[in-house]
Amino acid sequence: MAPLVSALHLALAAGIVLLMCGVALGWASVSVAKRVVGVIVALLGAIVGLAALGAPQAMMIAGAAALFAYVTIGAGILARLQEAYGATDVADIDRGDADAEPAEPSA
Amino acid sequence: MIEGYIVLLRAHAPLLAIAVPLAVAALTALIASPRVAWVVASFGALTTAMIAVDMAGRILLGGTQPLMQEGVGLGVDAVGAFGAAIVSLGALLAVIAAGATLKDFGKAAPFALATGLAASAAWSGVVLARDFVGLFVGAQAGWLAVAGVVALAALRDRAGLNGALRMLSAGGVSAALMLLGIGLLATSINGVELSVLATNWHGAPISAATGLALISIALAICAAIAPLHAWAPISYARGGAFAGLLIGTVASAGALCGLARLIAFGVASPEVGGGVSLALSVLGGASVLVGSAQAVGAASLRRLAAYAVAVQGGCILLGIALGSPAGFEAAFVQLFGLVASVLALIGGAAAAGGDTLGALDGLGRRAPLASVAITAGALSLMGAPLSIGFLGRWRLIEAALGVGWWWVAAVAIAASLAGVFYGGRLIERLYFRRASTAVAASRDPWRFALAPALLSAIAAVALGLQPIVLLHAAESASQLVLGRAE
Repeated sequence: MAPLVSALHLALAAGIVLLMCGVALGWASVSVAKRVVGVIVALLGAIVGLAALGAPQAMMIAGAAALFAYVTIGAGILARLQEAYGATDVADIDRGDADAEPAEPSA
Repeated sequence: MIEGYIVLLRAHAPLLAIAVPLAVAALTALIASPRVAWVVASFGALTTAMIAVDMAGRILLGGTQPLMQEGVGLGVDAVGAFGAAIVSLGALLAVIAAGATLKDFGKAAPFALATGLAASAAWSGVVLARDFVGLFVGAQAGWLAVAGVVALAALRDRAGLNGALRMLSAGGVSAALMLLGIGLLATSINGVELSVLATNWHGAPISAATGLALISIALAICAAIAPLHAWAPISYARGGAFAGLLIGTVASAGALCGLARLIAFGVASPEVGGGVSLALSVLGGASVLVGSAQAVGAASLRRLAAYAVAVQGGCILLGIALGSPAGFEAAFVQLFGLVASVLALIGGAAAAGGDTLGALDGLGRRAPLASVAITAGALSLMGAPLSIGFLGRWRLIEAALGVGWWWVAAVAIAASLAGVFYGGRLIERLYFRRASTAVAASRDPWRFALAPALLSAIAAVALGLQPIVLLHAAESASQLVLGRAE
């Protein structure tokens, strides 16, 4: 008798959980570094999910390439933000920018 | 003999619409002089726009067979041809207008221009992709290229880095959602080709619908649809004029066209069509209402442009959600209006020499051409009669009432009423106020590089007076895409 929950199901569930955690971290974290890490975790989760679903290899290669691009560019932006603002907290960066722009009611 | 070469080139137009800007981008990046690079980039963008417009004209107006296969990854349909023409025209005008703001990038100007051309090629790839792999690769390459231009603006204003960070995190989330969505969809329909999306809906409709929803959300993030547009205001406001033009005319337009292509198949499916329409209409309605509220309170012209794109994008989603040829036609007309409005507002802001609303005070006397362009864009956002915005809203209301969705008509009217507030405020500042401080007129001769973009924006908005060609193209695109999906 086949098990009700296979390894592929578990891998898919793990991928989706990783993706959701990464999305939450990447979208809303107060730290730039955590946002970059969140994006990486979300993409890793998506690639794990793709593998569990048995998606074509071309999609996984494309996903891995996107992950590499986001890691590289994210690290570059993180370093440049540290140089330019002396901070990597989103709130500090926003505060630094607010002086140069008129105030606006938040949505 | 030359005629033979032209026939050969036209036969491979989809490939050339992507390869030409990529090749010119590589060449541009190698040139040291910003001005020479600008001339080369403008020429490349012009060539690409001619190829794409010719292809769209043949398919939408000339009755050429719409499904041409090009290699393993490209396939042209009506929406793809329409989208490629809009994206490449937007890129052309953005690159030409960049001539006025090249100093923002300093010595990195050739690289910024090259990145802009690469973005144009990538988003054209999205609308011409034959399968999901091409769609994903194009969207990610295009997104990262535009984020790169925003980051390069940090050479003048460090806040560009903040905009690039927002784009990076939004793009990463979008990429992850799109990947998983494609995985779900591909395993449900047994393939990655877009063409099987219309016919292979069997076995796992819930999984396929979830996949379609995830891809749609990913593209909606790229298109700056509210409330998924958290990245947009800062990227528009602090990324510089060139980046703002690229985001509005290339990235948002490309993402919305990609979404329209995808949804055309989903809406046609009886298993998921109703759910897709409902989800899209809710997202579109929310985008119109949230974007309108934010646009009314916007403190700078480029932020206002970001919110106006959310409003226009919401109206486009509402048109697509209707799932009828009339709805798609309304969406395509509004897409054209979106590009024209972005060109008018951001080009006008660059010509005004400032981004704050205060910089517009008395601009009608100082810079009449820029003021007319901003006025035309504002009137189009309001949906004022005889503008392209009016035509799009009118078509949307007609299409909505045609299928009994009266609330969509009410949302379209609400978008226009909100447009009267934020668009009217711009016109009041342009013509009925005096500058509170003395403003020195710019003597930079390169400011005239903005003129083609502004004139094109005025002309595009004036299409509301004589829209037969645009309406014919939009009607052909909607009928061809829905006819094929059925």
